[in-house]
Amino acid sequence: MPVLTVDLQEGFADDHVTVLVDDRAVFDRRGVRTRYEIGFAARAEIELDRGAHKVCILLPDKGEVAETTVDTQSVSHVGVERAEGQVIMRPSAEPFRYM
Amino acid sequence: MTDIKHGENGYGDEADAGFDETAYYPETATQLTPADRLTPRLPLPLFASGLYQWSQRLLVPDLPVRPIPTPLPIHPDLPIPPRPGPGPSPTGLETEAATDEALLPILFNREELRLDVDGRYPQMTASGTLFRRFTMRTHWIASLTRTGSNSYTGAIWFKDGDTAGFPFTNVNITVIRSLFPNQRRVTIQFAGGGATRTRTYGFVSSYFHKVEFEFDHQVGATPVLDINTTAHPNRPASLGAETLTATKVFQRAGFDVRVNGAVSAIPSDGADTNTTWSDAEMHDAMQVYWSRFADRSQWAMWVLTARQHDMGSGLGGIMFDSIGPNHRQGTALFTDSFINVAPGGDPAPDAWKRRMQFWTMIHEMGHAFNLAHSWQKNLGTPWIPLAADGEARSFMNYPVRVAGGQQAFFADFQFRFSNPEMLFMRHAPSRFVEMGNADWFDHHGFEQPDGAGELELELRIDRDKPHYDFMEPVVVELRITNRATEPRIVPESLLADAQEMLVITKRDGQAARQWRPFAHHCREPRGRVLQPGDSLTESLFVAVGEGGWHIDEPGNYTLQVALEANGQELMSNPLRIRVAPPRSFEEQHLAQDVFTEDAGRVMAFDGSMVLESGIDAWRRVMEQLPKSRAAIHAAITLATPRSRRFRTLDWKAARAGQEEAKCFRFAKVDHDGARKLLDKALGDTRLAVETLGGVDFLYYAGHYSDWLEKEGDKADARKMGDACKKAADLRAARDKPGRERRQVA
Repeated sequence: MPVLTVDLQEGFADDHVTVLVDDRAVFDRRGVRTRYEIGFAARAEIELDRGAHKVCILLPDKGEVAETTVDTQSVSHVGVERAEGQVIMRPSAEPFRYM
Repeated sequence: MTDIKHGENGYGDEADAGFDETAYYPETATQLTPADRLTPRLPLPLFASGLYQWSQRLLVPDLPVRPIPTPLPIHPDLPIPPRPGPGPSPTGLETEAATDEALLPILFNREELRLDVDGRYPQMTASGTLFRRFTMRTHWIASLTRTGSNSYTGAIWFKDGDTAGFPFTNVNITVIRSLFPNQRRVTIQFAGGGATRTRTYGFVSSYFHKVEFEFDHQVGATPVLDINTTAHPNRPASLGAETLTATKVFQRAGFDVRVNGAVSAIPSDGADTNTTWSDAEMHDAMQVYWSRFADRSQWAMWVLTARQHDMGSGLGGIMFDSIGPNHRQGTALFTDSFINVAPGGDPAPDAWKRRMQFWTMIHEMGHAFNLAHSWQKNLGTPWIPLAADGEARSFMNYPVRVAGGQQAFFADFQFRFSNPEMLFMRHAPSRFVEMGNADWFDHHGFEQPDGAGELELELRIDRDKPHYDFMEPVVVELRITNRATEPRIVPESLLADAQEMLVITKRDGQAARQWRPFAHHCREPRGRVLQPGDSLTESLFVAVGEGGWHIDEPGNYTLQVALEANGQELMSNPLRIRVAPPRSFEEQHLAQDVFTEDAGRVMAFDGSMVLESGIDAWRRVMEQLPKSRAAIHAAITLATPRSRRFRTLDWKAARAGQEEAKCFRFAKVDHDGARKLLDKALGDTRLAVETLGGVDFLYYAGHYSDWLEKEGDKADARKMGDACKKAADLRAARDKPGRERRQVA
């Protein structure tokens, strides 16, 4: 079964973050904070069936939301950043790298 | 005395300057072709860039000292002179009147100048730091324009720290270049803000800061500490062929780099049987294996090459040190990660891996200098407003994040930091950059002085836990130890002269205060030889001083002392103490009378026959809280005037112009009263040593023993002598094992 990895990356500062896949909460954590030295905050790994799935990132305290659809046959990773009040999602076939 | 420093503190001689061949090319150095580099220009340019220093030693200007109403006990036959403590003595330092500075007590003034107008990656910037009173710092930065072959001008655009006495807005700089470092000078005329000021600085070093690196590795993880810059074909055409090391990279960024040769190979099973490393495990390893580890800020860092982090192969490296009070001292890179996997089809995969591992090491070391990623410059709290630059060809950018990916990045990468990063590392206030440092007065007490010296200053107490009862007068001890391998001479009264030291008290949540003694003493300057390992110890009654009580409320306090000895700035450890809350309403009520200026003065001078309200406050402490530690101090305070023919001045007679003998009155010695009080104060040796401190206990008990002997009570005198011996044993047992000291005091 393919695993979709969602990396919460830049721009989080003690935020409440919920990750929904196909409207099911798979990650819900308060106090998510980016470690600026590596540009990484938190990771969610979800086993999914092959095919298309809706991934939604929700910051309920800030009223911010972003959504995208990924096909696990071509996408295994989703990077999520917050910048200028917006949540940006970057699907990728490759794992994200940090230094 | 004004000193223009030349090459002191290990900086500055040409051999130490570490010029590489490229350093002889001025502003255009970054654009040079390899052919250019092979042909040195003649005559060799004389660079002006580097670190310069000016220093001045001052005596403290006259302070507005209030008249002290308590007669000073000066009778030669008195058995117990006043409490030993600090007082001024103008020893050692030459006097120079303050000129253009509005000065509070100043021990040592020093200014640093960093001139950055030529050599490698010139930023056309000058920055300076004014050091005053050990804790005061004023930092300024100016952008420069060349106005002549040896002159520059520019506006000051950044100020930090204690800027109230630094109104200037512009600088005009004149440079004297020379082949001989000791002839190099920079004169700056500061102007603007309604004031002018001129300073001439002497050359210290071609570098802006010193830094030390130590490279350790996990067994099985091979570190890459140098690369051939042309080993990989994907590179800028202008990139010169050389063996590049971390030392060279940071020398070019302006640092006088020393690599600590104490390399450790860390066993693979040392941290965790899982073989991967958590941040906490690396932090632990840093404390064990890094020869320079210390709980303080220092221009030094530890670089670990390990196999893999807990996060897996997706983490190539990390500045892991965000644990504990001193961050940014340790970095790591991981060989079992993506940095050791060349992209498929790469023409030189081994060279790619070597380059990537080297690049990652420098990147993580950059984080330890407090550099953010290139795309993060506008995030968090940058030192100045900065723009993110996601396309920067800098060690601090991710190669894969630029347009065109790592291929495009390395095709245009000159193995350097960006100019804003250079500016930060060279010219930002050092506390922003120095490893392990933090905000001024935040968490750690005060900023540490540069480096460790030959003399060590320690602030200590004679009790297991630094806990004090409410209303217990706080006495601490200062100890200076010769850590050099040769004998050193220090002023004998170095620790007894509060005028020559800066004493800071800070209650958590409140502003720091400078403690000053009630009395100033004049002493004949005398030297004391400290053999290697010897120490000199003195007590400091820090609870109260001129301006009132410093430690009079429950809570946590930080105490720290700075002084200058033999030209070396000494900063003690910050001593944390806790004062307990009052145990009863009675204590609270009594505190209102104890924490007054009169009661403070009475205790500081070991008694009075004039300040009635103060005397009465301590009398009531003895009556109402007889078993308290405060009562021990009260007993000594009340005993002292009774034990001597206490002399008081008859003001009326003095004003009437009576002859001297008629101006003084002498009280009768109250033998029984004094003995009763001193027996109570000194009877329980352990308790008395704890609350008075060993130095003061030995002082009081010794003098009491002598007095008893003089009175003919040899048995009790012997008993008190035994108590002194016991106190000395208690102090010896409290000293840390392995730190042998021969007590001089």
